[in-house]
Order: sequence, then structure tokens, then C-alpha cells
Amino acid sequence: MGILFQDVSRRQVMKGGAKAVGAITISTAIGGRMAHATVDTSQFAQNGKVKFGTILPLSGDFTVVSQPWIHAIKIAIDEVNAAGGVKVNGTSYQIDNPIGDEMYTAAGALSAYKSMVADGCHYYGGLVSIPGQAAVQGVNIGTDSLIVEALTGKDLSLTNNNLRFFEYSLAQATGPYMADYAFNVLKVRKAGSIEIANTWGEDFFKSFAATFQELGGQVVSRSYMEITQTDYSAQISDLLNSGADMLYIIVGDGPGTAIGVQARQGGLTNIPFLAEGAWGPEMLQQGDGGTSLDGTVYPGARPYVIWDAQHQAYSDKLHADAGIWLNNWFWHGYESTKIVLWAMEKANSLDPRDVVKAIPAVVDERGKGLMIRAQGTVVTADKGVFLKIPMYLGRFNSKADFLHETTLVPVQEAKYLGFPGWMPANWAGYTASPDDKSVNWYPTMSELTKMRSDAGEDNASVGL
Amino acid sequence: MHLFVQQIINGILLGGMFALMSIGLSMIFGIMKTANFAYGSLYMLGGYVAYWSSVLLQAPFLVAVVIAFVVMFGAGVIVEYFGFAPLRGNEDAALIFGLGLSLVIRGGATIAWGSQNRFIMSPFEGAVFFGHFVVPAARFWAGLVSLAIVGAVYFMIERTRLGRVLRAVSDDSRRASLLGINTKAQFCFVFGLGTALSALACVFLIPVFSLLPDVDDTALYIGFAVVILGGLGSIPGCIVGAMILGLVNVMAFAYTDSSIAPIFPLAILILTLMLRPQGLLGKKGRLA
Amino acid sequence: MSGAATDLGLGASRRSGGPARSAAAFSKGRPVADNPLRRIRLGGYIAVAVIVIAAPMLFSSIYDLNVIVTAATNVILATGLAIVVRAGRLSLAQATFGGLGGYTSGLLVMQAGWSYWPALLAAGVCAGLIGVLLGLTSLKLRGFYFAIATFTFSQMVIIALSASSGVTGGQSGMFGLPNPPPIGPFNFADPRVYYYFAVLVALAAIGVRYACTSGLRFGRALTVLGEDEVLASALGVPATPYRLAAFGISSFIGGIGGSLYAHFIQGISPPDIAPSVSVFVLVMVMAGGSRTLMGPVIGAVVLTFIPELLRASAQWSMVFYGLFLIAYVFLFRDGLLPLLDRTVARLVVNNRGKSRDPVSAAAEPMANWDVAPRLPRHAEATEILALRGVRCAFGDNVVLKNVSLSLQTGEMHGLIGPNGAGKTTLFNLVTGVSPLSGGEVLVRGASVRPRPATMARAGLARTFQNPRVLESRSVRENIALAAELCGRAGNLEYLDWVVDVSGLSLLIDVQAGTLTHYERRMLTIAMAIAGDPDILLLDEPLAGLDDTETVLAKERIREIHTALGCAVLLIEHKLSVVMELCSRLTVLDHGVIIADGAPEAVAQDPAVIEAYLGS
Repeated sequence: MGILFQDVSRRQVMKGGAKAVGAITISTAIGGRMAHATVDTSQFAQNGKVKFGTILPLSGDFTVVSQPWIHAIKIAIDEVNAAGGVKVNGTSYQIDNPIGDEMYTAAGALSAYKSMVADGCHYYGGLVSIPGQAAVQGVNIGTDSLIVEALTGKDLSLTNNNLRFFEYSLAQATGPYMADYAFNVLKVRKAGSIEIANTWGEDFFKSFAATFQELGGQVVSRSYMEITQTDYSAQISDLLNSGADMLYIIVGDGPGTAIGVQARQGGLTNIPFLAEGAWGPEMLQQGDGGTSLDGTVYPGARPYVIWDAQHQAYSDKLHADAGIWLNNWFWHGYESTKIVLWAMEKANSLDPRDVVKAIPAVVDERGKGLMIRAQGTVVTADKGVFLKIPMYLGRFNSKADFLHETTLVPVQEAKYLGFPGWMPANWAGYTASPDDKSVNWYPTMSELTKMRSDAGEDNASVGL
Repeated sequence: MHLFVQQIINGILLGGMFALMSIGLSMIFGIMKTANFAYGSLYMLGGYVAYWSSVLLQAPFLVAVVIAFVVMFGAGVIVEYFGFAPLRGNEDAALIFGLGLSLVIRGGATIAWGSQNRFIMSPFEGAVFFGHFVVPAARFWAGLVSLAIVGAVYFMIERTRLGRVLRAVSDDSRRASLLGINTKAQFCFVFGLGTALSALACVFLIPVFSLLPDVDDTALYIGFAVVILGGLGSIPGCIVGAMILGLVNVMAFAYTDSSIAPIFPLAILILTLMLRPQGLLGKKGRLA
Repeated sequence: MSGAATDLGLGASRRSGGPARSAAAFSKGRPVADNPLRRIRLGGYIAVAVIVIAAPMLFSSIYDLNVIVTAATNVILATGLAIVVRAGRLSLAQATFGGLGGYTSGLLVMQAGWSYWPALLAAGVCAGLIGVLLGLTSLKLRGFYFAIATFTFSQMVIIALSASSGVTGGQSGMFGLPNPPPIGPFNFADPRVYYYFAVLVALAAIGVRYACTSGLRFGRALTVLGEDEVLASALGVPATPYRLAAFGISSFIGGIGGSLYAHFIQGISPPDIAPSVSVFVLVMVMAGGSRTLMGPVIGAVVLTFIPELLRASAQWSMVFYGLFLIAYVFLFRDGLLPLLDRTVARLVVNNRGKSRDPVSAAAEPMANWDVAPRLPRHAEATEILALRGVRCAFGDNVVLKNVSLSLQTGEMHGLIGPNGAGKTTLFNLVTGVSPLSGGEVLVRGASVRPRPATMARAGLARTFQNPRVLESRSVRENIALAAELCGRAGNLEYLDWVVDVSGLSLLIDVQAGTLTHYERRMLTIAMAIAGDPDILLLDEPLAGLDDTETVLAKERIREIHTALGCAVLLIEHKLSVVMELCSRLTVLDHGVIIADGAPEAVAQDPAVIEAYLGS
């Protein structure tokens, strides 16, 4: 049960003369559904504006992912605003975009989040750290906030929480294809991996390994990297010694590049690399890092495999605005923000609970027009809405002109272009508790195929 | 067996790189007894000077190194003159000043240049194969450079007149100034030289570790660990400490689970502090 | 403690009354501080209390409440850390102890099904024990080296916590930690309840801190230990157990604070307790000022609010924070609270302090004395202190070789010799600071193991070559502390006499750091006799004094010796004084006794002459 009362936040008073903002609720944080007042749009908008907040690490670890993402959300919002904003109940609302520092910690994420809640924000994008996401998803129900989440890891479904919209493909759906490609096309038989030691890394490795082993391959070396680690020579020599003919790098950005560079220098001169995580021109500024990673196979979504005029336009705009280049972090922000804003209009409501329900319909209607060609949504009973995104395997090309071309060139085999990057709706992992050992958390390719056909979905690729 | 020897080689190479990272701090901490917490961020800054020289001025690698050396020497002199000199004698204040300065530099670098990895085209590419064993070229050359620098510094301190002056100043700066030595100038020189050497180190290590604002932490931790292990005031101790740390690091990652491997070098450091705080080659009782 | 009978069989104090015009400095009581300043300070405290109580009403949004609860738990952490800082060590591990507390209570509640309250206590105890362990490992370190040891420890803990993913959730951390269970009608899901609870715990922590700085004798001894370890040891404060206790208490408090915070944000993960956060807590303590009770509180509050205020320009917060630290170092190094205090004082109070004529203090006539010189404690002179074949070696460096010396009750015994002979080392050995590598030390005939606390309780006191006083405290405080800490506090009238005989009565409230050299010397002597010692070791008490001062000091020493009847071992280079005052001389050269006997005989000993003049 919650307590609703009128409140004047300090900020409003200091801004001078603003009206007292509506209800601030105080209620049990996890699992509590508060008694909900009648839908009152004024609760979700202030002064004719709706807030869509961005929370990303501006300091601390992994700040590299932030800039493209921040700008992506901003560009999406700017476009909607330029077209007149979001029309709900006959009123047009402009969108505000406050930005907060996640600091890659739970405390930072919570603080930024609560700060925006106090200012009346109910929609959030960003959130890259696992502790940050876990912390915020513990409180968002109590504050009627919809979180648009990019990263998934098994323990990120801790709470029964329908106010979430996952717009990234799940590791479980991608790993089997990576393993299949490695085994059948690259003809590797002995896999080695270096991964970041959290549930995100674990999910990718295990889903890869399950299929790889089912096909008859062997995992000969698996090790972890510390965020602060800079030297990987021991692990690389071990890989070399174990006879691995492939290296799977499961961490993005800087550390991923460092591992790749050191691997090439450390004797793994010819073996193919597979990688998961951010990739893009900002990883390789000037100099030799590029050749070490050339040919690395990444899973990506459409915009970064096929480059057309639309992407060119975005890339130019991003470069003009911020001096950075387009990469896969961009679409995390852009597409999902657009979907949520469209869903507001579709639901004809600014209440996040109505909006999240309208997301599937919006995606069905406009999904093919999105850059990532979304194929619909998976609506779970109580864990939020998942976007169905087709994935592609592509090889990294550092010679690409970063300003005008994509760096990820799709592989030729049709099976790996546009493969389903989502788990079918009947997958138990969508609803189960992360501790539930009876769930098949890492289905192999054959199990996945069967699961899909049982659910009436096919395994056909989506054409480029 | 081959793997074991290869790991030893890895450890020695890493030790060489650690020595390169630490020689500047060994000078500053050893001669001036200044716990310079801004060492890492100045190290990082030196790398960026070289990077921008190579990008904006199209400078080849060695020219970029020289530019970084000269510029950071000046920067070091400025930091010592305006920052640490007025605080001499107050260890805690110097500690906090170094900390504050490192935050300013690191924050400024992130704002100005972003946190993405940068690389420099260097003449050292690929690896050399000796039968079963791999020696990456960049590490090999970094190790060679570190030996050369440590040797040069050692020679300077022990065999030259300038070195004698520095030793006098280090032992008892008050007495030295009574003898007419301009201790202020000497300190500025040492700090500048130490900072310049750290810049050199950073640039030679870019092909291995790349360059981003976060490299300051690594240099700071490794620097202090090496100096404490090897012994304050001992230049050869720098090599010894670095080798030990490099070998322990690699062996830990090679033979224990990589999630707890980082504990081992830390454990060595704490054991040193507990049992032999003056380090392996340091003089007893010469704690800062 | 007049009349205290010790196990060494001493008689009751013989002091009675004092000089007619005694300043009665101690028995009169403390002077009242300047009124306007006092009223402002009181007003300040009241204002702070009002703000603290009213905070949730002033800062009422969900975000503001988040900030003030964070501030309250930071106050707890900072207050705990301040105990260790004031005991003389900079620790870069307080956030780690907080994290250990959070993980402990989290694990106990989530995995072992404990109720929160016992889990909270367990969190504190666990952190406290590990704090003691950390203290044990770093006993011999100080300053920067100690800081590095604690920093390394922090990193090790983080790695250990990140690695055990099965138990602690590894790098992802633990989430879903429950709020504490309700107490009566108060539900902890309401951040306001959490805030008030945290404030209560903070008040308790401040209370503990008070006990550890001025409330208890333990605390007072701890602060002296922090200011001057050598002096503290001479006063009989054993450094190791006191410091370990300080670590334990400090990390206990840290563990409690960390647990409260973890159960507030309902999760804990390694990045929350990174070493940089511990640095942050240390800066809170230093920025606010580690000497005052409220200093760390102010520091914690200010440094919690700054990053929040800068959240809008988060990338600049690091730069700003760095600039703040640099400004702190160069502009307000005592801390913000003393800066505020000084500013207010300068604005409000015109009186800049007493003006005093340094000469007048030295020239103050001696107090009239109507007490007869003390009789020796026993009818016949006995040996009160003896060294037999004593040897003192530091590794290969042997400073004292086979030294034997006998000190009789009530005797004024001179110890002379060229520089570097080992005289001060001999003192250090007797007080337990330098190692006894061979031979025996006997006090009143019984062989003892020289340790600071043991020797102080046995009635031994000393002064140092460089006069050691507690610089930032008043003369009165210095003497009172010295009396209290050596475990043999005399009555207040005795302390009045001590002040008079040292010529310090006009300077009783002056800060010790501002005294002249002569005055400092007298203060060190006053501190040494504050505990009515039976054995007084004076190490070059006349060094640095001009001729007038030397005569004055000499007379005072003579008077003290007569009145107290204690045995005095006097190291001094001014040979005329030595000849005049001492009834016996021992000459030490290169660690060996080369002569011993009556002054006239020793003065003519050819070996002695050669030692002094060289060959």
C-alpha cells in the first residue's frame, strides 16, 4: 500500500514559481504494487513536457559506450519533437531528455535515477552496468517508471517487473549460431575464451559452448579478465599452448581490443577471433590495433552490417554533433526510444503501464521500418517485453572509412544473416527465477530449433 | 614444460615493462622521498603528448617520444615547483595534493579526449619466434629500453658528479643546502626527469597496453609496488622488484584461477610491508 | 591519586599545601572561553541539530531522501575513520570495512536466514575483527607506508569478493537485500524512517568517538599517541594494544555504517567499495578536520553533496573534486570546520589572545617555599635503578657494550660523554624503546623487562633531547595529560606546585607550540614530574639555553630534585652544571663506561680527558 500526498520538491521551489508537482509515492520497493490512482496524464508530464531520462556511465568504467548512446537517444527525441512531439489525448507533448551519471555502480545509478524521479521522469534508457540495472529494477515499479534495457544477464530478471522493455537480443539466441559458424564454416575444433566475469559474459560463453560441444568441438581454455587487468600474456600463452584454434573475446571496447592486440602479438597470429561487445571505430584510433582485429567475427544488428543512406545521414549527424562515429551502441538508444515514444501515441496515454502494453502493437506495425527490422515482440507474463531482433554475423574491417562505411561486413553464408536473435516465447527462462536449476538456460542449436518449431516459429532468416 | 618456460619469458618481459613504468617514480620517491600520487596521471599525460604529436604533427614514433620527454620534463618541473615544494615536510598534505592533481588531470583528459583506446604506429610489430617460444617485439623493445634507462640512471646517480650531488641532497637536504647546493633546483630537476622518464615509458608501452585515461591507475599501483618491493632509494631494486612482480603476475594468471590471480602480487606487496618494509635492496630504517 | 600504594611499596605523597601565592592553576578549574564566540558556537550546534531533525521535511523528494540517507551513513563511516586518524594513522580501507559489513549482513540475511538486527551486529563484529587483523599486519608502518598497506588490503578484499561468484555474486554483486524489519510502527521502506535511524546510529558513533578522544582515559591516551608516539610511549602508553583497539573500534563502526547503506540501496557490489571510495572517506575526515567531533560530520556531508550537486555536469565532477582537494591542501588544511571557526572568531572576537612578555616568564621569581626538603624514602640509600652488563645492538650495530650503572635513591647522577657515545640510547633502553640485547635492568633490586607502560608505572619519567610537547594543546592540558597517562596522577595541589616550580603559571593557558625554547624545556620537565616520579631521566635539559636561562633552569632542577627526593640521571654537556649539581658521574664513550665516581675524580681521569679532547 502506498501513501500519496502532495509534495513540493526543493527543486521546484528553487526554480521559482513552478506549481507543486503531483504525487510522489513512497511504497514498498520490491514486488509491491501500489494502489494506482486514476490515470491522470498530468502526473506523467510537467508543463506540457514528458521526460525521457538517460542514465549512463559518464565517469568510472566503460564510459566509451556512453557517448554514442546518449546522442542516439537525443537524436531520436529531437526528431520526434521536431515533428510536433507526442500526441496523447489531443495534446502534443514535447520530450525532455535529462542525463544522469550511472558511474558504473549501483549507488550511482540509483542516485541518478532517484534524482530524475524527483523531477517527474518516468521513462529511462541507458543503464549499462549490471549492479546499476539490478538496483534500479528493484525500485522502478514503486515509482511507475518504464526502463528500457539493453544488456541482459541471467540475474537481471530478479524481480517480477513488467515495466521493462528489453531491446537487445539474448545471448542464448546468438551463441548457438556463433558456435555453428565457428565449427562448420571456420572449421575450428578447439575453442578458447577470455570473458568478463559477470552474468553477461557467462551467458554468452555458455550458450556458445553448449552448441559447440554438441557439434563435437572442445573448449580447451576458458579464463576471465578483471576490469583493471592490462596484461593478458599468461592467458594467451596458455591458449597457444592448449592448441586453441579460435579465441572468443567476451568483453567489448577497450579491454576487448587490448586482448585482441596482445593475442596477435603473443603468438596467436592466425587463428580467427569471435567477439561479443562493442566494436567500432572508436576502438581503434590511429595505428596498428586495427590489423590485429581484422576479420574478427561479431554478431550485429542490421544497421552495422548494411550501410545505406539513412545510416550515412545518422553517421554524419553524429560526427557533426559530437565528433564521434556510429557504432552498435547507437541503435540501442535510437530505435528503442522511438518505439517507446510511438507507443505513447498508440496507447494514447503517458502512463508507463499503458505504454508498455502498446509496445508489441507498435512494433508489429512499424517494426519493419526500423533500422534493425524488428520482427515483433515477446511479451512475458511478468518480466517485461522483449524485442525480436534478427542478428547477423559480420567480419570486422578496420580498413573501412569510418566516416562513410560500416566496419562490419556480413559473412556470406545465408544461415548467419538475419537469424532469429530472440528466444521463442515458450522458453522458460523468460519467467523463471535465475536460481531455478530445472530451466534449460543454454539450449543448444538443436534444442533451440525444436523449441522454435514447437512454438510455431521458424528458423528462417530475415532477408537483408 | 614449454608452457612453463614461455610463462617465465612472459614474466620477465612483463617485469621489464614494469621496470620501465616505475623508474621515474623510483627516482622521485627514492631521491626526494616524495610520495607522488600524481605520478600515474602525469605518465598518462606524457602518452597523450606523444599521441597528439604523432597525429597532429605527423611525427614518427621516435620523434614523438622525444617531444613527450621534453614537454613532460617541463610539466614535472612546474608540478614540483608550485605543488610539492611548498608542501615539503608535510607528508599527508603532499599525499592529498597528489591525489587532487591526479583527479584533475584524469578528469580533464577524459573530458578533452574521451576514454577510447588509442594506439600509435610503432616500429615494433609482431612477434619473434624462437622455436616454441614467442617474444612479442613491442615487449622485447620495451624491456630493452627499460634496461637502458635504468642503467643510465644508475650510472648517473652513482658515477657522475651530478649524481653525488643528488645523493647528498637525498640523504640530508638541509645539510646539503648548507653546503651551498641549490636543493630547490635539484629537486625540480629530479622531479622533471622522473616525469619525463615516465612519459617515455608510457609511449613505449602504448603498442602493448594502448593509451586511455585509465592507464594512470596501473602505472601508479605498479610504480609504488615496484619501489616498495625493490626498496626505496635503490635503482637496481627497481629492476628486482619489477621482475618479481612481473613473474608473480604471470605465474598467478597461468596457474591459478584468473579471478583470484590478481591477489598474488598484492599479497607479495603486503608481506613485504609487514616483514621487510624497506624492501629487498633498500636500506633499513630508510622509510619515507 | 595521592596515597596510591603501588606494588613497589611507596609511601604516601608528602606534599602539603603550596607556596602562598600559588596560581592554583589546576584546582581553580578551567577558564571560561570568550563569551561571544561561545554563544556563536552554541548557536551553530543548535542550528545543525535543527537542520538534521528537519532535513527530511526540507529535502523530501525520493532523490533528496536518498542523498541525506547516504550522507548519514557517510557520517558514520567518517566518524569511525576519524578515530584511527586521530590515533596517528591514515587508513585507506574504511569503505572496504563498510563493504565487509554490508556483505556480511547481506549473506547472513539472504543465505542463512538471520534477522537483520543480529546480522547488523555481526557485520560490525566481522569488520572489527578484520580491522584488528589489518592493524596487526601493519603495526610497524606509519604514514605513507601504512596507507599503502591499507590500500593494498582494500584491493585484495575487492578481488576476493569479486571472485567468489557463487557466494557473493562476484562482480555483479548481491541484490535484493531486504530493508531492515519494521520497529513497531516504523517501516524502513520509508526513507525518512531510515534517515532518522541512521542519524541515531551516527550519534552513537559520535559518542563512541568522543570516548575515544576525550571522554575516556583510553581516548585521551589515544590522541596523545596520535600526536607524538615517542612522547606517549615515555608517558607509558603502550602503542600496540591501543592502536589495535582503535582499529577494531573504527572498523566496527565502519561495518555498521556499510551494512546500513547496503540494506538501504538493497544491494552491494564490488564497485561500491572500490579503493577510491575509501580514499573519499579519508578525504571527508581530513577536509572536515580530524581534531574536532563535528569535523568529519561536516566533511561527510559536504563531500556527499558536492558530487550530487555536480551530477548535472558529471564529467566535470572529477575535475572539481580534484580542485577542491588542491584548495584544501593549500588553503584550509586543518579542515573546513576549523576554518569556519577561525573566520567566525576573527569576525566576532576582537581579543587576539594574551600578549605576554616572554622574558617575564623566565624571570618570574621562584615560589616561596615553606616545605622542608623531602627526606629520602628509606633511611639508608638503596639502589633504585641498576644496569648490569647491558648491551644494546641494532642488527650488527652495537651501541652499548657491557654497560653497568647504579643509581641510588635520591641521587643526582650525571651521565656524560662525547657525542654519539650512546647516552640517549641508554635512556631509550631503560624506557623500553631500544632493545635490550644482553644484560639486566633492575628496578629496586628486581629484574625487569623494560617496557614503556611498565617503567612508567614503576615511577620512571624522562625528557628528550629535542623537547617534546603536545604542540596544539595548552600548557595546562599537557601537564594534566602527562599526569593522567603515566598512571600516577598526583592531586591537583601537587600539579599546582608543579606549574609553579617550572615557572609556567602565567603561561598555563598558552598553546604549547607557541612557547619559547626555554619555556618548552620547563614544560617538558613539568610533564615529566607531573606523575611524581621516583626516577627522573633528563636528557640534555639545558641544550639551547643561553647563560641566563641555563642558570635559572639549573636552579629549578635543583629545587625539584630537593623537593621530590627522586633519583635523577642527568645527561648534559654543560660540564660546569654537571659538576655543580651531581654527586656522582658516569662517563660513557663509544658504548662503554670509561669512568665512574665522584665528579672531581672523574674530571681528572686521563681517559676521560682523552675521550673528550680526542687523540
